[in-house]
Amino acid sequence: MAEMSHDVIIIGSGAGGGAAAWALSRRNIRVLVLEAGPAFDPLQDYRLQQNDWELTGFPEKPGSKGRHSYAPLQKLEERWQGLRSWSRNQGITVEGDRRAVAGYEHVRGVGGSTLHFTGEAHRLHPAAMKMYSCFGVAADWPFDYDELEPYYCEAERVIGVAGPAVDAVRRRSEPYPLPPHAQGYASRRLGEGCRKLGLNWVANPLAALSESYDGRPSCNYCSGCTSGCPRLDKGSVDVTFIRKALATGNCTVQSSCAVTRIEPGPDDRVTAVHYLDSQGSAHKISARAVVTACGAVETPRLLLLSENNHAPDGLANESGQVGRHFMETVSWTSNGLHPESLGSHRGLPADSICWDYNAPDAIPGVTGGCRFTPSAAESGLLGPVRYAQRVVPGWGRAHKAAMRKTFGHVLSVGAIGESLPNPGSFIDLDPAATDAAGLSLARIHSRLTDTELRRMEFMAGTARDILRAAGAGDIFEEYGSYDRFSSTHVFGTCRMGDDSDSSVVDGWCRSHRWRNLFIVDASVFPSSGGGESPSLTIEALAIRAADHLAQMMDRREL
Amino acid sequence: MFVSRRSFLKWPAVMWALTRLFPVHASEQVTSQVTDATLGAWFDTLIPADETPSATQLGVDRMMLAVERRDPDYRIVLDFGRKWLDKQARAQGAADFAALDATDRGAIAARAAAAGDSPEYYFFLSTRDEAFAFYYQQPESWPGLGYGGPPQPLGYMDYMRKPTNTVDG
Repeated sequence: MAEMSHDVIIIGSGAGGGAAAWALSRRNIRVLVLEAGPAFDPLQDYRLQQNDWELTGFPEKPGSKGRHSYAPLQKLEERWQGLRSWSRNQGITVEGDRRAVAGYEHVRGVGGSTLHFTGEAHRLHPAAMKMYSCFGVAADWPFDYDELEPYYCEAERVIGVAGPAVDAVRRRSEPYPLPPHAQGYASRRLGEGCRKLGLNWVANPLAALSESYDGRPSCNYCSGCTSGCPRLDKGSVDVTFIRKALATGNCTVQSSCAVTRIEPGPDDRVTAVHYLDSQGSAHKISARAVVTACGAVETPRLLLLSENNHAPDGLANESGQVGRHFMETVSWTSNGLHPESLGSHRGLPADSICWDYNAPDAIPGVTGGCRFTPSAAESGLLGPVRYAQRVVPGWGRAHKAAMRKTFGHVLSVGAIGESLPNPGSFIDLDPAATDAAGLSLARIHSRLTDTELRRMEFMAGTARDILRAAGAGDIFEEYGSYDRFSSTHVFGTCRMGDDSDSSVVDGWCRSHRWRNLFIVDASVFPSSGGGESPSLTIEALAIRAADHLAQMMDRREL
Repeated sequence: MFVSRRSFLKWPAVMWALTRLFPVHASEQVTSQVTDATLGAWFDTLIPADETPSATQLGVDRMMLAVERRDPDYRIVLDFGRKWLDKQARAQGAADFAALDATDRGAIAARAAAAGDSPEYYFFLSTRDEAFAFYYQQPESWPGLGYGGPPQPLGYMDYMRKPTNTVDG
């Protein structure tokens, strides 16, 4: 008999799980959050005060990286040679004629991948939620932007998002909680370049505090967000939603507890959750509802692993759609040198953004949008070690002299674009690779179509144009996701929709069949958006789904 | 996007060539005075002293040897490098690489850097990046860079202004 001491079990404590935990626990619903990874202590674990901070990046702890495998990736083609990653010091950086694996960049831990994100807090472009009806690709969201807007506001208030007062595309019912951050000295150079090209370069909405807020201090612009914020001003989920959920007294978070399966039962309900604790001991627990929030790679894996005679094809997979429609991060980065010392290692990683090509029909001849930001921080070009290795060629006295002339001169433009689903991109269970518990790993199948590559070609060309216009035409390094799979944002593998034959969950993120099973991560996204960072949308979706779940509980429907 | 020790070791063809050409036995001691001097001279060729210290003055050679002791695979790389460097030196009539003057050492480094797809080229790339990593994490290497140290706890509250104490190119 499974123990039942909580009303809701949430699997995963990232953007979706954390926001759901807060939204439920504030309504006096008893929540247990099971997190497969460890908890991080920002003051103890993050290393931005240490001399070797560049080499460590975001810290790894036991269990903080999930394991998964990759099916063979596509062959590289001569016609896309302009999208190969290269550097002045090394030439072409991906050997061979086949796309390589850089990895699914994520953090498994309390707070999930928000622990290492740059803090972008984006709302989706409204038109990007209607990709099928307007453009005949991907699928429509089962509701529109206006339905999600109040939940965006709630998430922004919890986090303390700093953003600009004006947004002509994304209607706002209230201003951002905090004023935008001033653009940095180097970012303003990129802005000058954009203006020469007729592009707009505006403040990027960020989950980083421009003023002290909710007991947290304001940002001191160290640019180290991706290494973990020791000040707690970055609005990662651990210091916002989870902290507030714990403060209600209704939420318990158990880290280093890996869920192995959800048990489907009779009457179209899931009846238990099985997990292994940090000591490897097996547990079985029950609750009135189960919410999964493991991300677009691990959530389909868990559902597929959870098959039994009640769900012979895997949990919630009656449509055969679990794992399909995988969408990844379509990205490009160009790094150049400016003749002036800019101190580009300072500031916020992505304090500005160009949204001009974000709409689904904004890029000439290609469906799906993209956006551009400064990217020196995400490129890891913030300290002397990486400058010595990657920016300054050669060795010896000349290298040392060039270091002194070059440090702080890098200008970087990064672009992220829409990822449209295609039949060659999906997640399944690897028949040959298992984890320590003997369970099949998620296997990533990724294929970039010509549409993605033409979009990436536009992104690369525009990034180069911005650098040249900003005076940094001496480009020394470029890389993108054409020749190396590298994804931070993943989507789509448990699609949300009204039709149970073509989707996994309904518009409330509830399984079409399993009445007490919800999914609140980016796996439910029917489309990826035009490069927007997804965490705020995940949080808004999770709050909305949790409110619905709470209402069902109030009505005793669960 | 740089050649780290680990990524170096991922090149199977390079490792195959190195292990075939320069087999290292588990019992072999490779940190003798002579071979240490060779590597020390190599690292000081990559990072010589000027206004700031050289690589060996900041202990880069000791750090690399510590890595070598922990990592048998990297021992293959460094041992190849020692033997290759000394071989080049002997071809010029010197006892070993450390006995050459700075100009001759630089010429050998230039040959390695230009050697294309070869073990000496990958030895050059790998040790260059590792040496820079050990060197530039030390405060003694920072004067003149316009870099004052780790990003925290002070941050960069001047991020909106033109930086000071830097050299424009």
